[in-house]
Amino acid sequence: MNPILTASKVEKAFGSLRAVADVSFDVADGEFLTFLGPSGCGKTTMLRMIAGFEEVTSGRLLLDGKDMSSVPAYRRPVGMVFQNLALFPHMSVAENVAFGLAVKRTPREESRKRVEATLELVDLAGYGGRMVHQLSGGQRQRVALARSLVTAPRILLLDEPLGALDLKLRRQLQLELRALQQRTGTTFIFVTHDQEEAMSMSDRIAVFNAGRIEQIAPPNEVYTRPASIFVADFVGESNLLRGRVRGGQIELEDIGAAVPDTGGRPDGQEAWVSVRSENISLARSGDATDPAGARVQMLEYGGLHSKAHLTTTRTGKRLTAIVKPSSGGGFAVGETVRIGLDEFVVLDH
Amino acid sequence: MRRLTDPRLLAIPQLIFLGMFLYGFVAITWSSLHPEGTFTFEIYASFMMQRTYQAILWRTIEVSVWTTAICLLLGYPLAYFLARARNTELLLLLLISPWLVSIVVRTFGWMLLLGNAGVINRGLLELGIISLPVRMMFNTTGVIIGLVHVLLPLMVVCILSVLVKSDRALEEAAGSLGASPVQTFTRVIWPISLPGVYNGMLLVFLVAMGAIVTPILLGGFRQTMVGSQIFQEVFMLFNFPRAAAYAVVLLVVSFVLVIPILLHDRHLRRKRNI
Repeated sequence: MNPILTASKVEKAFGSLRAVADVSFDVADGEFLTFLGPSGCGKTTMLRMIAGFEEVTSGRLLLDGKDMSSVPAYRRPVGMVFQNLALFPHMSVAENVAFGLAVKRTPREESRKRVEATLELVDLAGYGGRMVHQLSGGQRQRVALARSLVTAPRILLLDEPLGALDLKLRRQLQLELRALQQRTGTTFIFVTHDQEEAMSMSDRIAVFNAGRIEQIAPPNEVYTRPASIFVADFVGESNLLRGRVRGGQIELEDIGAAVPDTGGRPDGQEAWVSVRSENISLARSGDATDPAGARVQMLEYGGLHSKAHLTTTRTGKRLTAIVKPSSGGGFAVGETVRIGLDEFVVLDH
Repeated sequence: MRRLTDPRLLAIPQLIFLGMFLYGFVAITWSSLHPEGTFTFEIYASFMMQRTYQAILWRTIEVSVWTTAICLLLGYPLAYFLARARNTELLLLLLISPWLVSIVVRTFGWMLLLGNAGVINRGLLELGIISLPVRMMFNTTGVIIGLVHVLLPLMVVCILSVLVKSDRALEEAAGSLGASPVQTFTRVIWPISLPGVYNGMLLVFLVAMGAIVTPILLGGFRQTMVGSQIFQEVFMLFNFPRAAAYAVVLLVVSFVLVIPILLHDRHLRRKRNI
């Protein structure tokens, strides 16, 4: 199947600042794709280029195979939900939602029906007469969604739309958004800096760093097989151990152990081993001279699980390990424990 | 025991001013109804009978409407441009700077420009574009030009104050929904700026209706507006009761004419919770 959107070597420069550098990717029709990254990584700029609010400095954007460079934003079959929603304050909910249809001079009866249907879709049936200022945050969110969906765009872009909501509401809307996307079959491109949000909603995640995409893959792949140190560090909690290759093994000084090198790296080369906090196992040691030992500096209590903050006895490297109440409950601050690696990933950069 | 810091005390200066205004208004209304001591509607009756008096009022309304319309047509684009400029404050300062000069001095400046032997006419004559000087002074044209010059910044400031507060993302949102730039203006930008436009129209219209200096200097005393007529009645004809009657008529007519704007503005504010 042909991709609905293709970005080919897209670049965006503001003067000498390259906000987006050499980005290429495809988006499948009906996919939920998330642009994930820290502030200033270029994800919003990339989104705005797809929308048509920023000009592409070089490279091409193809929508359904058609080059978008000469098409202004208002002629693209692309909708956008803005970070601050940008609902029209001088219009009622129904008028807001009907805007995209009114602009195309849709007949009144058809417009009314579609508006009603879309309001029902977002669970706001009957709210048509209200003014925007009479709505709560979550309700406004849904109006913004309905407004963009009523015109049945090919792609819906969402620029961190859930940022201003409290945690519980945010989680609820995440689920609703995902369900909505599946029900309508619209392609969604979602921008966020919250990696948990990205993982729970997306078909694929594109991790942005300093204007480039470091990895674009389904959530579980990004999580278990990060392509770079940045991705390993940004998504989920991970510990980074520096190692040196010697005789087919990667020697890790921090924990006085070595792991096999399956990548055929030359001797003397530097490599990094990334271990998720939940993949570090702790065992009773009590031996302060244990080369694979670490001292428990602090125990951080959490609802589901607790975190142990450790420093290795050999190098003083700081590690974080998830401790399940059932098994690890017995560790105390100041105790020395033995570090084991259950699962890890080897990275070169 | 009322404390000296009670905030309600702040209302007292306002009440004093309001009281003085009301006293003045009552006093002149009384004077207009008692021209020679006895109660009579004479003066108002003569207004309604004689064409000259009606002409003055119509002329005043005509000039004020034209001034307001031109200020709006010129002022809106100016305000729009200023709102999006990078150095809005500097440009705003430039816009307001004419107000630093006395209105009399500025209007005299217009006389130099607009007179039959003034700069504009002499230029056009010498270039051969016209053969007879264009009459731009001592008629309503000159007064409108002078009033627009004085009141344009007022209109711009009123519209600017609303445009500056409005969210830039609204225009992008409209665009993302398929609205062309023209549609974005008519459906989003213009309706949202309407309260500011109404403010500007109200202020410009009311000031123009009661203007004195510009109508005198650029309009003369042969075709007066209510403002210049009142001046003439008081300082040249010494007919205080008739001047008072003109003032009362001006107040009532001005108020009646702006009622539609006031009503719609209030309706909009209620609906939008501004």
